[in-house]
Amino acid sequence: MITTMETRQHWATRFGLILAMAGNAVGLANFLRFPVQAASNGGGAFMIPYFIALLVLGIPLMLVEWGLGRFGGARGHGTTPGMFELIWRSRAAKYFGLLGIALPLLVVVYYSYVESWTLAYAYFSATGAFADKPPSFFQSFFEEKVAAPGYWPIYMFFVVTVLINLAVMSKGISGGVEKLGRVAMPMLFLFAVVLVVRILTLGSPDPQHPERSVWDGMAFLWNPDLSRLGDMRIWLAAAGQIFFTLSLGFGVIACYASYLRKNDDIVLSGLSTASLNEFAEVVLGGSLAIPLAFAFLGAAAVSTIAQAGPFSLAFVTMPMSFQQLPMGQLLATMWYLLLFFAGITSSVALTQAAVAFIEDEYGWPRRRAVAAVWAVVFACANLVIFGKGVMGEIDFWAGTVGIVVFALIEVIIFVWVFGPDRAWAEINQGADVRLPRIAYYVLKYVTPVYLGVIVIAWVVQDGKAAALMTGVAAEEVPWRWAARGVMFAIVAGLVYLIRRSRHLREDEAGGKLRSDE
Amino acid sequence: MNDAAVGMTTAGWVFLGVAWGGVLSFAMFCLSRVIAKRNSPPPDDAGEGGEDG
Repeated sequence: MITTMETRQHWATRFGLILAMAGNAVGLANFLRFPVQAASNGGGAFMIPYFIALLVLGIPLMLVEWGLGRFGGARGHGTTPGMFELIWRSRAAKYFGLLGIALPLLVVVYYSYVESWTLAYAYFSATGAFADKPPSFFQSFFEEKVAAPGYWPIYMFFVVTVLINLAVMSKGISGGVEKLGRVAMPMLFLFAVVLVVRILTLGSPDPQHPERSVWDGMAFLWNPDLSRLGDMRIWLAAAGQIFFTLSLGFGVIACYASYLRKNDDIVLSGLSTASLNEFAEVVLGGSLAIPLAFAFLGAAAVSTIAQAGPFSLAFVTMPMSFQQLPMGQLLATMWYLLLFFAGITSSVALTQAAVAFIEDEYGWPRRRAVAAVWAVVFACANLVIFGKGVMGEIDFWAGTVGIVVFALIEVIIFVWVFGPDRAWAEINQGADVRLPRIAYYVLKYVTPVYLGVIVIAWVVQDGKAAALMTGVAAEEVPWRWAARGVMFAIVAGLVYLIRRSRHLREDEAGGKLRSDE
Repeated sequence: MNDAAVGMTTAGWVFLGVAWGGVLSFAMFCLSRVIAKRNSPPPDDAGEGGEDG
């Protein structure tokens, strides 16, 4: 049965909705990417472009997705092909919308694998498997057993992770996704607060290096280098971080918002979600990994680790550091469970769009739709597990460029095609907090221009090199082409499904804006 | 970068304080409004969650 407004699932409570949305937003980026980005881009000075990007890019885009989602959901569409088609009277509309299913689906292919690493490390930490290992163990363990294929315990944790995702999603929106958020998010925040308090009160924990202190790590992050503000790159980096941290441009926020009723508030709920995310990122994420690493490894080593990427920090530096602390086993377990909760609330969100598409446009029952989607994810993830460079290829095209391009499309359709006055009215319908009028002008002019500048800058900076695989190791090239094949296959498959969907064809044939009815 | 200790500067504390203060104030504002709305009478069309298929 095709879903209609009457048969559509809904969120049971506002808290559950906010926690689920926050779960979608709060992820590994909050705890790993943010501190590295801040430290590498001017320290405390990074917060200036960061908060500006939050105000003129992050929050407006977030409200666009919430508005688009509630609007589409009220008319039986939980994904962006249907939502775009309702607004933009063009045969192309639904095909632009398919990015809101393809992008999160592609990202979850590798994201779920990284999520399984956090579950594995939580298990290894809890059972004491890391307890008596020398510091040198962690680097080789990660590189040779975790990030490389063939180590069956890691593969089994991936299978378990997929099964947990399946189990949660099979129970539906209020029974599964919302319940997960209500359990996982409070635990995530509790663990993070405990860890922050523990870490910030460590002082100089290494007696052999009394000059290394957690507060030197905080200084590394927060002492501002204001001269960097003239560098366009930190403004781009800040905008990119806001994108990733709020999970914008994936179409997932729109999908979750489609389960609202048409007069449910989206302004206060959206702002609450953003505030929880920023608390997790700026207050908690900025006070964990870098300060702890600093206290044991010092400035020079941490700079090198930060440039090596977030995985090195999370899976090498952190367990090494925890091992040297009293109750380190417990702290490490909490750290990896925190990351796992951040991961699973995000992976559930990332697959929800594809599940909703099959439910809404084909009338499949939920369990069957969930099983089909995760079967595709599992199959594609094996390419990530056994290939080389596949994760990087998908992450660039889908998880970096793709989401910015799609966000631009969303803004153009919802604000310019729908009309800024209609978009403003839609966002403020049922609102429990009044938005200041200046937000209207930000939405209409500033956000699309800022996004356009980011798209152009990234294409100019990285596009050609990425397209031509410049600098890529020879052994990775065939795998990266295989990754491109998978991306193309998923997009092609969605084009086929969209063309076949009678529900979408009926809306196209309807030929007029549903809000006129 | 060498290993010499730097420590938080005054500017560092200012940026930390403003950032944390801003984020916490934002979160507390939203939380207080959500709780206030939760405790106010529900609108006519409020209801429990829909069926999960």
